[in-house]
Amino acid sequence: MAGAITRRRFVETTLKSVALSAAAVWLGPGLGRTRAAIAADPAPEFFTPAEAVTIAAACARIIPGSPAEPGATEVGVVRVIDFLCARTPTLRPLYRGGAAGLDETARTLHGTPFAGLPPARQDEVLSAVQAGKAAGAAWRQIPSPVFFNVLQLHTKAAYYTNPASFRFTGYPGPYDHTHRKHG
Amino acid sequence: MAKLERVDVCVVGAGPGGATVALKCAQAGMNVVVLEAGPLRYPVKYDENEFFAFAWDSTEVPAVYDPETTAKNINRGKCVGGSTIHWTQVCPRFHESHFRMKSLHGVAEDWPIGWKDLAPYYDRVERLWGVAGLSGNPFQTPRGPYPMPPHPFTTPSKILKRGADKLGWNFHPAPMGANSVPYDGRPACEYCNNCLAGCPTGAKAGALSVLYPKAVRAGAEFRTGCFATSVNLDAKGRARSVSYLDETGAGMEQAARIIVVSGNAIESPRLLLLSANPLFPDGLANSSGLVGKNLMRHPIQVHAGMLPDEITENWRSASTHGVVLDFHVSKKGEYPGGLMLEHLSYGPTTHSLVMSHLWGEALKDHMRQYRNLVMLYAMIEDLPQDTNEVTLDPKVKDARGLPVARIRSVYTKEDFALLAKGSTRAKALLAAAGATRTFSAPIGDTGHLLGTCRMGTNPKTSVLNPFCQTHDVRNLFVVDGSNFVTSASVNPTLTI
Repeated sequence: MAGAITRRRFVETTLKSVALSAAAVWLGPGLGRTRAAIAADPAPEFFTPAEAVTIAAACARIIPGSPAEPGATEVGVVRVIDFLCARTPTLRPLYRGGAAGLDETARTLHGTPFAGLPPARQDEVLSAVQAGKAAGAAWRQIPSPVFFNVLQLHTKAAYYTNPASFRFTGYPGPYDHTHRKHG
Repeated sequence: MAKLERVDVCVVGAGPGGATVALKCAQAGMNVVVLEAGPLRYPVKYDENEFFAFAWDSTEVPAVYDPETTAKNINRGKCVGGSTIHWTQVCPRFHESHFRMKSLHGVAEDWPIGWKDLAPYYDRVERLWGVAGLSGNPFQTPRGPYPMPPHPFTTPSKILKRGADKLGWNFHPAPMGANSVPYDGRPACEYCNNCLAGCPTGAKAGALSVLYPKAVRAGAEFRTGCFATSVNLDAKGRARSVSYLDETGAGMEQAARIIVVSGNAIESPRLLLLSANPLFPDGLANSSGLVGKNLMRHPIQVHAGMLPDEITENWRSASTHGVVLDFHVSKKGEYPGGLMLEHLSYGPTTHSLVMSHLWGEALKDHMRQYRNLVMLYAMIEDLPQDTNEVTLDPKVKDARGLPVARIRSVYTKEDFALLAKGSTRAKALLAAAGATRTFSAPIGDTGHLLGTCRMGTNPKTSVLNPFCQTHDVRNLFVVDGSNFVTSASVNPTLTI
């Protein structure tokens, strides 16, 4: 039992720290390059097609889109996360386990994979994941609040650093040191 | 293991503590080697994209903690410059009372040094780093002028000043380790708001921008990618050498006359505990049993207020411009712990990440108001607790096969009460400034890592003497936030 707890802690910390640094390395200084690389090659490198569908559906609930305002789907957040996973091996178990957990919880409660649920049901599952109350064996390997925290972090970082979001936050854009102004 | 020729000083860690030692020793003509686990990125150059930088370059955090009790953000930086890469550059001196919590309030321990001892060194480090500020804050211990004039208030700080004026509080220009005018060959700040990601121009002071080049010029050698695995003793019980893995993973041993551990309040005790030997079976220099004990984390909580009719221009600002120090010293009869309020300006990404609990439509609604939001945070003085500690994990190992640090740290109910008081004051300030709604981020992030090798005059109740020298091993020093006896309620780097 003590071993299980230790492993849990280890998993949590390792994954979290790796995820944070991954955000820094890939979403930050290299974001422009990341976006260019992704645009040139939109197919997932790491996620299986089924995983990509599940993670994309979760991202779309963290930052929903509408016809008037893009969300995570419209700016392609899932491919950014996939790009991170492809280049950060230690991040992979978290997303692989998290995708399995989302589907398992959805199946347990409603008999269908996560992406097949209506938005309100998806939100219920995500709330349970955030609160650490989600059902499913997958969450014994990956603590669900850790997964949620990293998912929200990556989704927000990928979305709010994307110029497509600036119009809706009123942010003029990053500072341009050559012209000495923002945007 | 390759044995390297003995040098005068071997420093482990190139953050503000270690780099200062390296600079001063090199300038004194000593032969200095600095072992830094992370990389070197100099000259300083960053892209302008905002990103989440609290965990800047912590490409590996081999720390294990209790998920129920420890906050998620362990604030540090594994690179030359350490956490001064991403710091908000706020440089207040301690108040004279912060050194005397036991005498004044009957809690914790007094520091073995006081304000008067440190004042001349505060003067020197402020000149060395370049600190801009305005003396005359009635809530601080009186002091002379700063080396540079204060940074002008930007839109969000003007808004908060307006609120503080209404309440009769003193919203004072933050003492900032960033150039308000060109200083020491570095340019003035352009207020690009990139502080947390790393300063693109070098206007921000830090161990990388200021100390590193000076130390190199003075002859210090920085070896990056070098992870110290133990400090070794000679037959007489003096520190003899540091064993480390170089960037290729090869084992090396650097002998030195003086060894200085500056890894931060987690890695420094970890290294001492990893260096247990027959003379010190419980960890090097740990006859007191206090290595790793009394970890303090400066609990903080971020608050935001919405001003529907004003564009707050958070992006046209350094990460902070002003502080409220009216409550940073506890009064007699109150719970002994100060709190400070500090203005914050973040871009939308960091703002959304700080509000880590928000998602879905609630997040989008919140972020649509981003241009009307103004932010500040409350930080409290957490007292040392014997139960808040860094130990070696009995089971979990890092990639090198070394036990990781296990961190146990719980906020006390007094900490939560003080945070609640901070929240009330922060919201009062936001409301007085004109906010029609306020928002609070979840409590819990670590402000700063302090304690774990505290200084004192009694070898039984402290690890270090007042000169940061271990009581047990004469030529072994620990120079970083580990030596703090109490945390005070202000940013710690200047005091380190």
